[in-house]
Parts: sequence; C-alpha cells; structure tokens
Amino acid sequence: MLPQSVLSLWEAIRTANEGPELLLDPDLKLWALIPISIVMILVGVAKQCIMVLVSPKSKTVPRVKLTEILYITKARVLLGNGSNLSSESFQMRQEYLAQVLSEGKYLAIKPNENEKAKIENPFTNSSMTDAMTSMAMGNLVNYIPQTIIMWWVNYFFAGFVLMRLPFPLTIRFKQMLQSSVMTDDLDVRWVSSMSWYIISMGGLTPVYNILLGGSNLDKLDVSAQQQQLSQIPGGPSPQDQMKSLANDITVFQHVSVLDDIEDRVLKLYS
Amino acid sequence: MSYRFTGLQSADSGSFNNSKLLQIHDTTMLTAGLSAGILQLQSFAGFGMFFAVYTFVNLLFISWLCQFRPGLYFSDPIHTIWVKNLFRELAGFIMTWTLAFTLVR
Repeated sequence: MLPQSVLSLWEAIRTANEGPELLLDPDLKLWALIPISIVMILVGVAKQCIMVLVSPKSKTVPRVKLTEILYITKARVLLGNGSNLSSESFQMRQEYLAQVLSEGKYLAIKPNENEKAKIENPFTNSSMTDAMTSMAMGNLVNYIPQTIIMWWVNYFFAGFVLMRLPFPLTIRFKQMLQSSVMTDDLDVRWVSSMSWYIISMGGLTPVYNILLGGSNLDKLDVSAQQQQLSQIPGGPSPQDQMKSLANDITVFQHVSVLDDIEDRVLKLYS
Repeated sequence: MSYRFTGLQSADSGSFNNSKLLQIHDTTMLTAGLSAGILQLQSFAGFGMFFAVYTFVNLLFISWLCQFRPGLYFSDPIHTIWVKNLFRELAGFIMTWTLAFTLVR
C-alpha cells in the first residue's frame, strides 16, 4: 500500500497542465492522421527501393589490386587474432608475411612504375566519381520527398487542430506546431497536422528497420566501404602500409592461448 | 576460469550483434509506446514508462542473451547497449505513444 500523500502527488503530476478540453471530430483520425502516416511509411519504403536501384552495381577491381588489399588485410588480421594460433603456426605466418610484405611482392603497382604515375587525380578515377554520383543521388532521394510531403501536409491538412500530445511543451513550440491555427492562448498540447508529420519523421526509423529488415542494405554498405577504404586519396600508399605492417609483424610479441593447454585441460577435469 | 578466444573481433559478428540489439530495441520500444498510448499515460508517466521499459529490456538482454557477459559480444558494451540507440528509440516511442494516445481517446 502506497501512502495517500504519494498517491495524490502522483495524481497531481499525471493530470498537471490539463487545460480546457476540446472536442475533436473523430473523423479527423480517419481522414488526416492515418493518411499522413500511411503516406509517410510508403514514401520511406519507396525511398529504400530507389536507393537500392540507384546504388552502384558491384564494381570490378583488378585482380592484382584485390590481392594487394587482401594481403594487407591478412597482415592486420594476423596481428589482431594471432594469439589464437599455436606458436609454430604463428611463426610460419609471421616469417612468410614479413618477407612478402617487405619485398612488396604483391603490390599492384610496382615501385618502378610508381614513379611515372605519381599523384592520381581523384576525379579521373572512375570508382571515385561513381561513389560521388551515388552519394549525390542519395542526398537527392532523401531531400526531395521530404519537401514534397511537407508541402502536401501544409496544403491539404492545414487550419485545424488534429490531436493532443500526451506531454506538455513550452510556449516556444507554438509557432512551429500550431502554425496554421489562429489562436493566441490555446495550450501547446493541441497541435496541427504539421506536428504529426514532424513527430513521425523522427520516429519512423525504427519502423523502417522492422519493416525492411535493414540487414541486407547494411551489408552492401559495409562491403562497398571496405573497398573504398583502401583507395582513400592522400592516404598512405599501399607500399608504405605493407612496409610498416612488415615491421609490426616482425617485432610482434606472440602469446598463444594454447600455451600449456594440456595442463589446463587436465586441471579442469581433475 | 574458462579460456576463450582472446581479442577475437570480426566485423561481421560485430555488425550482426549490433543489428540484433537494434531490432530488439526497436520492437520493444515501439510496442512500449503503443501500450503507453493505450494506457493513456501522460507526460511524466509516459517518459517514466519509456525509461523503465528501456532499463528492463536492457537488463533482460544482458542477463538472458549475453549471459551477464556483454563484453564478449560488444567492444564497448555500456555505450552500445545503453546510450547509442537511446534517442532513436525515444523518437520512435514518442511517435507510437502519440499515435495510440490519439486513436484511443
């Protein structure tokens, strides 16, 4: 049992700032609230589909370039997860990778050719321009529907109070949330259709995630990013990366999780 | 004391764990918003419900799915589980809360 004073305080908090009660036409829900929601969800789904269609097709990378990237990745992975290997296996990989990387055996552009094409203009590189075009398209696809829906809501659903928010707001929001309702002293909780648009614009991201699964798109992005990561203009050249990785691997202090594994297993089951 | 793979971090498993957590957060918080609206909760009660459900879901996630070892599955467990999705879920919660609140009245 809660004491009476706590209960009354709770009641006071719950019903604070109630203000005068307005009677709204129930048809407003059917003809304004639900259409706006449906249109916003459908536009979001269409946006995702367009993004998939617009996104660049799987880019081809020359085999030598891929080998170079994968050898750099392999060295990083060995440094990161090497402790799971036994000492012998690690040593084998260590010697091999240190030798291959310091020699630059798998460089896509061999050092002597490198001097000719010293600094490549990023705008002549086709993969870079592709990425930029898709980025611009993505911005456009995000920006245009937003403007159109905002205009649509403002044009068709203006001039009435649509709903009451379940939480109080400060008077500052009046300008934005009651834009087309010409009242001076109506409580800010009574808002027009524009505010439902604003609220659902923020809140629909989780809904899209549930509706579309989201995972497929993310995977596409990650693989595209990984390929671009190695091609950042102005970053260290692959040759330098390989050299420094070779150094790192040579001086790496290897501690294996498999050291004394027999003793530990015996101790575990003794 | 059990010995596991140490420092095993793969980008694939990391993003898989993140998307699972995100999906759990999304579903539970949208549902919580709907329930708050159906219960006609207002102001503090509604936000209180958000934080209560958020905490409850996270504790359940840590204890049930992570077996009290979130560090094994996330590189920065506190930030990933408690902070990263907070405002996204709050926006979703407010949306469904407002929707159900209006539809039920």
